[in-house]
Amino acid sequence: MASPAMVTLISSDDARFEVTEAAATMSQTIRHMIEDGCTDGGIPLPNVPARTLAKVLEYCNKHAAATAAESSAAGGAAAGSDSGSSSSADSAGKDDGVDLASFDKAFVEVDTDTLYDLLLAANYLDVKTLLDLCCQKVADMIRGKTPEQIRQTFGIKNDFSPEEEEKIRKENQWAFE
Amino acid sequence: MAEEGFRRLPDDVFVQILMLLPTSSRRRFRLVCKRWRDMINERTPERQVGTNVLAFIRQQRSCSRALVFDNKDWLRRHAWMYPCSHERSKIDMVGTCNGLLCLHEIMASSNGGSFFSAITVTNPITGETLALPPAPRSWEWEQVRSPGKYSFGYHPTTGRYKVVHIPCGRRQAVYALQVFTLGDTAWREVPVDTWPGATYNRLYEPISVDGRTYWLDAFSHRVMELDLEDERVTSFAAPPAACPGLIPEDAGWKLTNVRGRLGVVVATATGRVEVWVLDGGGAQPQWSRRYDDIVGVEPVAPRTSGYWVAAPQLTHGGYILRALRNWVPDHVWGFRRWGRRRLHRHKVGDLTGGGQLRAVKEPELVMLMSEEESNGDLKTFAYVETLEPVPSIHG
Repeated sequence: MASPAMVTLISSDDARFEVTEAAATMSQTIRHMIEDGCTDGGIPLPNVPARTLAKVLEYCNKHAAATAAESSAAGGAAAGSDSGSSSSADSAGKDDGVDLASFDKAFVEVDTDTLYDLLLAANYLDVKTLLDLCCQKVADMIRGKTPEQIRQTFGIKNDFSPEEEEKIRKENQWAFE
Repeated sequence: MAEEGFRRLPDDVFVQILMLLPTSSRRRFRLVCKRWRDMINERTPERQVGTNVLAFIRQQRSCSRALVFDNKDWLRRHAWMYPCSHERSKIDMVGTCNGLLCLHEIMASSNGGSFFSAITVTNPITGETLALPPAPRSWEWEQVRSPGKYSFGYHPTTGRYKVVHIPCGRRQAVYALQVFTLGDTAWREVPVDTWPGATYNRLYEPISVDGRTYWLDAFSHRVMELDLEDERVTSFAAPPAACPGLIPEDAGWKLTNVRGRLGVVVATATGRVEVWVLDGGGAQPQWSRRYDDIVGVEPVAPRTSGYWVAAPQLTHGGYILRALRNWVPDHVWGFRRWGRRRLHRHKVGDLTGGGQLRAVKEPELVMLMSEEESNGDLKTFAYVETLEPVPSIHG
């Protein structure tokens, strides 16, 4: 079996990461760089520190491996001519789905600073599923909170004057008339 | 450091997060800081939500209806039916906040004994419905015999929805309120310890406006106020039209919502109608008289079928609505009967300028109801169509 194509990624603090091309190209940004042929001597990612890049690559490796397993399972099912083998392939794929969902859930159980770092990196690297995952995590964190709790959670300063605040409070109800 | 953290997020990412939130959370989060306010105002669809008129028609023995129409073109948007679970029960609408409707089904007993009473909160657009557990009753005779009154309120900064129950007490006294916060599992008792004690006139419906629930005391001297945030009860003087003494027997009072403020509509026996609006609020509430004589048409007692200023939402855009039915000759039987109900709108001046304002134009017919829609009590509300989730009992 041929070893998979590998690429080298270089974080902002000069740490080098060897990853499969399949995992690296989950990032649209990296995919474009590879397509443009700027991979010699590694791909520099000046916006992503090593700590965050390691975390992002953990996500990409897991998802790339799951995608590969899925497509090989699907290929196996297509090759098998009777229905018996396809049902076992289906159930394997389903287990992977459950596994991936719980991986995702655990993956974003991090402190808020790490979450920002992930959001920024996912946005810069253009890893859509990771960006969606992190955005959903933040949305779930803030959904039921009061504005004051939001400020505390994210360390945001209230920069409204009392008059401005009163105005919004009034507007905050729908259906005045 | 942490503040810097959140500020680091690019606008596009921030907007993506905001778009994953329910609309009511987004509105609330405009209070976080200027950046949040501006992003929500400019990059999310908050401003496109338009207000409609919801006319709720309570019909005994069958079902109640909610008709929604646009307050600009007066076209019908929705017609929902709420069938009663029993032939002797009726369904009334308590109120609406942010697209959620609070309904109260009640069945009086035939023998003067106990009664059945059930509150539900529903979003008719999503079909999500929450049945509240019944409010606990004491063994006081009054409470066993008749239900109290309910109000449905939303507190704009905490984002909490609360159903407030004013139980029926001895000699119209109110010792405690019962409050159900949506998302909780049970009713809580909120003691009323104002001096010299609180009373309640059950003829007049309570109303929730701008994070507070109001009701009129037994003598119409004072307006009682429950703050839906800290749940303290206070009171202040009712508008001077009430004083002194009791209201004339055939005059009507209504607590209403006038552009997000508490309003009191007072109609006298001579057909004169006054609207008082609460300004200021907080420690120094002040009443000012508005829309004096707005509907000085022929003198009509408020109890006459529907010929009355539509409430509890008084203003709809620049208009006040009135519902009326006329006697019409019935050629088949040779006597007169009630015709179909019509809704008229009266244009009123701009309230924000202050001072006294009058209806400036002749009333205009905006809606002719069907035969089935013409019977039963009519209430009007300001309704917005949203996908606002109903907070579930399990949080």
